[in-house]
Amino acid sequence: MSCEECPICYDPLDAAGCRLLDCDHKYHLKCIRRWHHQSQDLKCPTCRKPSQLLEIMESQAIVDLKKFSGVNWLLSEIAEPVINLPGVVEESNRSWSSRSLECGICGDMGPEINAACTGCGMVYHDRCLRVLQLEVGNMGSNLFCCNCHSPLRSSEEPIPSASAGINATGSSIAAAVARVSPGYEAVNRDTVWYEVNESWRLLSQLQQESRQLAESNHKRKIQNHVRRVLHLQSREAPLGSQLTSKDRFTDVNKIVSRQLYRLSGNIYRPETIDYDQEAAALVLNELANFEETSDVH
Amino acid sequence: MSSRLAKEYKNVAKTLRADQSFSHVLSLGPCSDDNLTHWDAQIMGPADTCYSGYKFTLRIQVTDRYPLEPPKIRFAPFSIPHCNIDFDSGRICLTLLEQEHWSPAWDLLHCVQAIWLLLANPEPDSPLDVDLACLLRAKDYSAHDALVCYYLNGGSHGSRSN
Repeated sequence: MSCEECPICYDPLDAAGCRLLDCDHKYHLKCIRRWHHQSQDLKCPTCRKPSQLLEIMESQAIVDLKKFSGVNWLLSEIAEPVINLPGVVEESNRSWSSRSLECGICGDMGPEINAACTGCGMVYHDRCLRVLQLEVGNMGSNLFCCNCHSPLRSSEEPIPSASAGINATGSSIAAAVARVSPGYEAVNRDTVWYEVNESWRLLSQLQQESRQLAESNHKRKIQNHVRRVLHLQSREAPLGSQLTSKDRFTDVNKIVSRQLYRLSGNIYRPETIDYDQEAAALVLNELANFEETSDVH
Repeated sequence: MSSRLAKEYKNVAKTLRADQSFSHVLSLGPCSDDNLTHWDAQIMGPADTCYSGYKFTLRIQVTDRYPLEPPKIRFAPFSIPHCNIDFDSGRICLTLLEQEHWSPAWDLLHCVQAIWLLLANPEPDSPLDVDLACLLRAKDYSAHDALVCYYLNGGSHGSRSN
């Protein structure tokens, strides 16, 4: 066990740790990315050496910090595992300003930002607006932008942007973000609104991806049980003899896995469900069914 | 980041107890135990300088964003004449304490140490006290030391009356 500490927060470095490859100094991913965002450069806080590559210790994924730093930062804020998605790291060496994603009241950013001004493009947390409303005693104040007094729009409303047709892969995020270029001047309403839309879309996409990632982890774990049971079964005659055919094996695997996901509500919970036992029962059931139907034919 | 401050407090106490090379830092810690954002420090003037033998108080204020933001550190007002310190307010001109030169890998003890080193190594090219800086630039060290001594002993001069 190493008891190394993160030099920024002084908490122990655990699985969330990462390493700057140029100087080998270690930090929490969140801490170092926050610092890079704040300092607007990519220097190591300990030795001031500029760093380009960062390795996430748990997954050993390597992130190119120079490319796409805004989104990497955003990703590390929202969901650390998402950073490992293929495609996020490649493409486009334009940087992207995440300023437009900060709440105009508290300055924080994150997926829960859910209101944006239709005039100047400032975004807000709904909760910040409500607090403001209580503080100033003006019940209408959460309907208008604090900056320019234009009406606000909340994210429950459909977003009228060019988001159609973009699928949820990392590289399309890269392409979408590259369009929102830095140093971008707020010359007209439509372009600003477009930027806000893009930001929102990006945020919701990232959220969705991290959800999917979490879900696929659950599925993978459940599937492991099913596969193990199937392998055991395939050695047992007579029902198991069906499983020697590859197609049949895959079919049963799919059906049983699907039943198991449903059974456990798409979440892997080994403490309440004995997956091996359930899987065995379902497999036998499935094999017996098949035997019956093939007898009929 | 208050957990970081709590850990720093523990580390500082240990270092000051154990490490003789910090004997010039007489104390460094939060003003009260229930608020870790305000700290006080007492340092001795470095030996072989005109500050030798004098005790100085530093007031340290830490923001919510520490350690991403540097701490705000000042000397007690009207307490120290130095070419990089504003006598009236105690404000310190030290690049380390500016956002663009700050690093979150530093802690409050580093800052206090840097300020202590500044006392022995004045930097007349970025002055907050023009009179003292002029004397240093003219290499008139005896006049500089005499002026410092005058203030330290409660000398009065216009708004700088003590």
